[in-house]
Amino acid sequence: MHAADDDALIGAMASGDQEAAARFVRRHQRRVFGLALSIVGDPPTAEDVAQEAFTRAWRHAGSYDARRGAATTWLLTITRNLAIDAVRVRRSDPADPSIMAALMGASNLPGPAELAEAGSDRRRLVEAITRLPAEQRRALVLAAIGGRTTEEISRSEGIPLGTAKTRIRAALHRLRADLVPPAPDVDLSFEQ
Amino acid sequence: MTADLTCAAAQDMLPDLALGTLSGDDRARVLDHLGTCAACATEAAELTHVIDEVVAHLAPRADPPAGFESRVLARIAAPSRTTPWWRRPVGLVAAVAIAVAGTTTGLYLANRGSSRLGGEYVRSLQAIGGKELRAAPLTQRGHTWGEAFVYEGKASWVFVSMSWDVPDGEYRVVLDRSDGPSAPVASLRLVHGQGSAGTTVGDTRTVTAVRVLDASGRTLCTAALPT
Repeated sequence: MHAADDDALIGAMASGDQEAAARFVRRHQRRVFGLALSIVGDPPTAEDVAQEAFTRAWRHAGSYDARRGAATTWLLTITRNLAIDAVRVRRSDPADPSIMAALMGASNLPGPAELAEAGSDRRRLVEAITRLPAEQRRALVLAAIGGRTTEEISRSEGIPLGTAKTRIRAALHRLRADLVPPAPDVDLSFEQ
Repeated sequence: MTADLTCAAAQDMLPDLALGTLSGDDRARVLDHLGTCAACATEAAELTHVIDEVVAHLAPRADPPAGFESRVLARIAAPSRTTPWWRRPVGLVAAVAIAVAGTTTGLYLANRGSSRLGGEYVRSLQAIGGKELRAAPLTQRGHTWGEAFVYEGKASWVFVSMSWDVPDGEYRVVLDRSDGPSAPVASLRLVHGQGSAGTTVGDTRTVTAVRVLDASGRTLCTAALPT
């Protein structure tokens, strides 16, 4: 929605503009902190992760390449990796599923009005996720948004490890079918 | 040593690989396979794309604590003062080793860490019942590109963090040992030049260096650990 604005802000950050950094933080802080909190589970660590994510974005603004993906994707990938690192290094339990459930509640998911204004990519994604069976959707959200391993999902959901894997794999494959355009058919046969 | 994977076995692990939650030997084995199988590599890239999209579009939102913005800006202005605990500036000194001899006494700090910083680490190590923590910057021709940590304790581990403008993709973490051959222990995925990896390993006391290798086996950077 604000991709061009984000690119301009990151460009300004790369040249040391702290006012641009402030605007960038203001624009994205709820998503960065929300994602960090959904993975690490406690607000102080989530704030550490979120601060570090913005610090890294500032430090590496010069190497950001808009052709590789949207600024939001870049920033949230940094956040997700840092949050997973923090959980793994601490060897602490990841966020309680109930915290995630609250974060993923109605107030945080896009409503009909927001979806109507959202870009087609987001609309397509949300619709595809909505079509997933509930147990696959939950496993996917725990893994992608909660940063949980399949083993952790197996334990927290009380299901066999194989079932957790199957749910995540099925959800990812269904979404891939909806989101990734099929590769063109290539005829590799030879005419004799 | 890693055994060759079949496509079916690799594909079973691709979701965890794409989610960034596969670690250790499994990760190394899958990456070995992806280096030789275009179909599985494409599938891994597509699954990663799906996860990026899910996170980008559905990341939950939550208000950070009051004053968050000003604290971020303060950190940007003085980055070394507020680095979080798991990224404290061990890399800012040449190399650090902290060890507990026995279980409760005989603490010592080796090498050039400041005594105040050393004291913090010794207390941390003592608190978790660890025996030894060594860390060194990952360098190449005098430039520092990250840090490597090697911890000896109840569960010993290696952790590597890198930030470098090399192509995104999968890299390999290798341990050099004084008593045996070098061996890959983990894979490191760089996204926008950044990434980190950690894994549990066996005895770390004979580890002399941590290296990061690219797909062709070339050493990108090395952390020479204090011994």
